[in-house]
Amino acid sequence: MPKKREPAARDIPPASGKVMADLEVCHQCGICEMVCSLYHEGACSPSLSRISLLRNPFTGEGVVEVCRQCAYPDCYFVCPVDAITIDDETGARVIVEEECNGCGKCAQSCPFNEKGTILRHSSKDKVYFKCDLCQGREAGPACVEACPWKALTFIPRKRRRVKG
Amino acid sequence: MKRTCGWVGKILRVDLSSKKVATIPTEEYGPEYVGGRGIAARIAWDELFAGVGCFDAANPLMIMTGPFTGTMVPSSGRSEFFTVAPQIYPNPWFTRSGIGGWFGSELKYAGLDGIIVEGKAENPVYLWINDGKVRIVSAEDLWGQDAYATQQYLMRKHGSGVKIVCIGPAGENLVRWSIILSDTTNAAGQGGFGAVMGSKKLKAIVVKGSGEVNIASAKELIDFCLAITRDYVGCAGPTERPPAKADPELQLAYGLKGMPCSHACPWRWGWMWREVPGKVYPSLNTILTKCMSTDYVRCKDSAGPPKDWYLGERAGVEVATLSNKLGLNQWELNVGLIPWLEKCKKGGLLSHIDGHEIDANNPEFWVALLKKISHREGIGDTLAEGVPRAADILGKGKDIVKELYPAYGFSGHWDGHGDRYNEPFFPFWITAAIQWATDTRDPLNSGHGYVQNFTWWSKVRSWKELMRIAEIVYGSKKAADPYAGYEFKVEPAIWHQHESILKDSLLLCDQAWPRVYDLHTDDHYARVTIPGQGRIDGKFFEAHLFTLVTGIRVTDEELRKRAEAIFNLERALQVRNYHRSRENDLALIPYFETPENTIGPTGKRESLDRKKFTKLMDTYYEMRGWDKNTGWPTTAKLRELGLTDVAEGLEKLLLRSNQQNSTE
Repeated sequence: MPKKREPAARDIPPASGKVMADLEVCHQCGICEMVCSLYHEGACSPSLSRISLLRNPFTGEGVVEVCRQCAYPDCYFVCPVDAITIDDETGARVIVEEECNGCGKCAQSCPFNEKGTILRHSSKDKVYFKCDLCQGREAGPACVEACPWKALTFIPRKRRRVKG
Repeated sequence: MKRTCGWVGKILRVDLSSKKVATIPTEEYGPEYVGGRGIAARIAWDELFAGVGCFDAANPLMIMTGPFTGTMVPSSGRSEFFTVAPQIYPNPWFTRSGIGGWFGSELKYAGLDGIIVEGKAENPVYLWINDGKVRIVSAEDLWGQDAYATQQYLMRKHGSGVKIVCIGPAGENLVRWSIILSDTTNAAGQGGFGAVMGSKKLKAIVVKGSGEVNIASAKELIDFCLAITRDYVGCAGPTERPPAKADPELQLAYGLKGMPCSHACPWRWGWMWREVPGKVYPSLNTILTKCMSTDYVRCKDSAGPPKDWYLGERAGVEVATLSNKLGLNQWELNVGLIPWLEKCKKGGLLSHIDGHEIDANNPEFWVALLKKISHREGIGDTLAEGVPRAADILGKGKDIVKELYPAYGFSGHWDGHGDRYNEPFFPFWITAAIQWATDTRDPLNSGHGYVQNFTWWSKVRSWKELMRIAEIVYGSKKAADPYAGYEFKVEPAIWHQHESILKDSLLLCDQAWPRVYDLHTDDHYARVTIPGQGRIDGKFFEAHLFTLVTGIRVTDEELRKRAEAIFNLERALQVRNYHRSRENDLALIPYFETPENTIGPTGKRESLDRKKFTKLMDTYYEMRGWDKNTGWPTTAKLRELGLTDVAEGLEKLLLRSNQQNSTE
């Protein structure tokens, strides 16, 4: 049996803000996916979006999947090439695409990524990408701004009770 | 490599007879023909010839998207279907039917701007399109299954993320008013397109796409779309859309929730009903109701247009679900068949349907009726032909058909006559009558903008205010003047026919567009101001969006000119293939000569004045640049619109008919 890898010797990173979805309010339009891919990639595509709406029209239920920006981010610790960094301003756990070697360990380690929509693989660039809370965008995350019924909210790092 | 924005580049061609699959570049048609209805009209002109019947192998079923489909543009997740439609009465001809939902967007992500299905399969098949890879798969397991079971089967097989359009038993049995369904409720409803799929033995089309739609000006598009969305959430109409006013008890009992009926739509036009127990069967029904299907579940005291029957929530949801599962067109059902049956009963012409007493308040009657029609059992076999044909076959109720059906075998729709449900008042339905007279189907699939909006908005805004907006949009206050009578009715009809072309080609939702009325601006005319883009008025939203999405700079005038060309092309096709003439256009006059349903501000029950309307139609043909006597587009007009080859085609036809006349 392969030996279990120890997490890289790194300190627990500072807290991060995050995007949170209220599924009672979400009316399942998918505009979050459109604006996310448009902001990051200049194209509209659910598979290029960092936030995902998974809907079942035959039950009426829908789930919004987006990075939880964990206090103890497994993806961050497991990355062998230190491609995941912490954004100074928001605390977002961000994949630096230039550093990423596409090994996919982050995607495997994420406890919420069973559907593969939180840490996604770009078949074009052979790297992984995830929600970066729209680093540097003045109005904050684009999906939160675009959600027509305010089902998405941005929780700033200060409001998360994590030391950092 | 050139980066195409808006369109994704390819149109799929599938021949079910020879099992051949090919693609053609969209570039051959766009951007000149915009998308959707424009491209379909061009393909039909080039390839669809006179004499092709609705159930012939040569009848193509086209599914087209537009440059906006699958983008962030509000309410753009649509696609448009085209074929020779079985519902058209007396003779099927080429027309369109729109669908909301998510199918169109997924098709674009799979790299396709459209699909053309030709030929006929020997045995039932479905199409499986996975990122542009196409397979024709046996659907023998699925044949006979209802439309929900079919989709759930295909979602289990190909993954829950696939998007599907399919038919139910009604389509398989060639019911002339059967639908093509997607999800629980999105349907290409009017026209009987389900039967065309059925005749091709094509049970479903399943799509999965992981690609993208490129956008020319991403940042500007985000800003503009956000501004539009902010502006129009909460101003969909004079009253706020559901669920704000949904009964709290129903919300608790059935998880009732407002939802959009199309991808990327910020509105909550539909109501999601979850696990509502049936009344006839002990089933649990989940369905998104919108448009026609909200009629079944309308509360007794709701403010909406009146109906003569009431089913209550449980039975209403059950009937709505059943008609979608079986694949029947709810417009034909609620505004055509049921009122016709009730009137026949009242007139002593028909009292029972194979032993079931005609009673629209009785859900058992509905269930029996729907099942009989979709499986063509007993008298259902006749009713499956649609009311106008059924009346001919039975030799009963033909006069009632004339009361309920303005033209083409389509029952009334926002024209002030026919079923009580039809509430617009004089003089606004005159414009609707012009739209009806010169279309190929019920024009209201993308023509609500005029008559519906004046009916609704007049309840909350003063005529003075509406007249001011009308002046901005149509060029004269008279367009919204309730006392203007027959004056200035042609201009808005033409404006909305072009708007309709744009909505069906770009594609956009008919209820949401054009953006004209507003609750947020001081003068209630829609407009947004965006840093870097300036002030944009509602009328110009489409052209501005087109520029931002495709990177091709157009003005509003240029875009509407393209719409005019497409409208003329459609008319030329009508003339060439179906001998469409002024005479056909005016055939609907008797329907409008009956007294209107709702008394408007004039205080008396008006009906159409034949003389004045005929004169109005002269004006219409003149403004269109068409021949007043024949109703044909003149070759000069076609040439002016850049349709030289179409002009030549019509010239030849004219020459032939003149020769025939002279030899006779």
